[in-house]
Amino acid sequence: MIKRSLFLLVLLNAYSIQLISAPCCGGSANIPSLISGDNESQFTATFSSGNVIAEAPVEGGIKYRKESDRETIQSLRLDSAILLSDRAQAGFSLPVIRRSRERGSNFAESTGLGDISVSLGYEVLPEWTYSIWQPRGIIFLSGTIPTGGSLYDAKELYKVDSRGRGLWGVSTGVLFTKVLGNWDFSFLAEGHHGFSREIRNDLGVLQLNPGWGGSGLLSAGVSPAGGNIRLGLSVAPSFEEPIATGGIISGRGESVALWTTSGQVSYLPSNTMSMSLMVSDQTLIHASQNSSLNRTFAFLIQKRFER
Amino acid sequence: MKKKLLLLIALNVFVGGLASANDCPLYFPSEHLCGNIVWDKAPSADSKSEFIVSFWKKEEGSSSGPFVDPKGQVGVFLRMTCCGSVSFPAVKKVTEGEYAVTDASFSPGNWEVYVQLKQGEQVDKQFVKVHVDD
Repeated sequence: MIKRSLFLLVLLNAYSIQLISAPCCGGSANIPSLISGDNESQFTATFSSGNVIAEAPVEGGIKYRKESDRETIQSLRLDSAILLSDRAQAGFSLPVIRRSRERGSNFAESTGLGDISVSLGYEVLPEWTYSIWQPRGIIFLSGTIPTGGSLYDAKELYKVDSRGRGLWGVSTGVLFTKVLGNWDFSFLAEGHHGFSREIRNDLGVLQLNPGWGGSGLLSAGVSPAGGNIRLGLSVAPSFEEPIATGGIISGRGESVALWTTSGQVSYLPSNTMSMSLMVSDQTLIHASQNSSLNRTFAFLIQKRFER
Repeated sequence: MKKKLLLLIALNVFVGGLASANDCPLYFPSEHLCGNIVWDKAPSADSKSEFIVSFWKKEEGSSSGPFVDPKGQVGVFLRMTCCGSVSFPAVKKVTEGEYAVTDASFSPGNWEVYVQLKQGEQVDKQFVKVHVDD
């Protein structure tokens, strides 16, 4: 029983907390790279390719893009996490992003670094002995370094050179995971805050004052017959307060809400290696607001080193 | 009779106001100047837009001239009405009282095109509304 649970935990660790999110960035800016199993370190490479298929206007609803309007976001993200002690860990995430957009006879593209994030985690609820009810729990603190540039910094047509939020940010949250028989469940809740920034030019100073944001993830998976294949589904809402501006122009933008649903098939060739195919869609739940909406395919490969 | 007279006065004020707005599309009270925007490349989501901003003395000129240089530094920025995003196109003086604005990048939706005169801490800014089709 314990051995089977450990095996499923390995599967869950490999697959549950990967999330394709942020429409701008093709990465998971608010979901840190975390070790949630019994490993000393793990390295993950995720390649994703998505299309912006619709917009969620400020007033809500979905407005699908014309067929002649093709915007793609491809990313290669490298994640790593390592144990610092029995219960503490550190990690980082490094995305490289290519964005392109074609509208009629016009085409623009740009490739570069997205926002880098670094994280610290601590296992507050360890699973040293098997429990029918107690999940494993990890709290985390992560920071976002605005290496990707933002809409405010973009110079290219269609702002394809915007690959991040353009703001330093700090995020904290908790991840719970639980294996029950052939099933596994994850729950993640996170809150974040961006730091103010000033853009100086001949007109004066434009102050950008971001607000709070939050995101979550609820996922469930099953390994049929307890084998080395896992099928998973997840839903991930996120919310951002508007950015207020001051200085050159005082105003307040609009808040952003985004709902991402994902499905994945994972394969575990060995206890220390895993691969996943994922598809995510941001048009299935009609509650997003003030955001572009993507459909994304991703391939993930992860190598783990056991304790 | 009295009613007709009032109506006539109201009409006169309305037409006068319209004429005034047309003569002075952007009014900068800090320097008592008028300004106007003439698009070289109309606002579009698919290409960088360009326009000329010109300035004249309110009582002495018109949109066809003579143009004068403002004392304040001329700046331009674009603000998307719905979402608050702001961008800064390039501004370059072309001749007395005329400034070329290039690299103006729009996306579909409603925008405000701000023209600003800045002298030290004193800032005078006016805008025109622009709609960009998808």
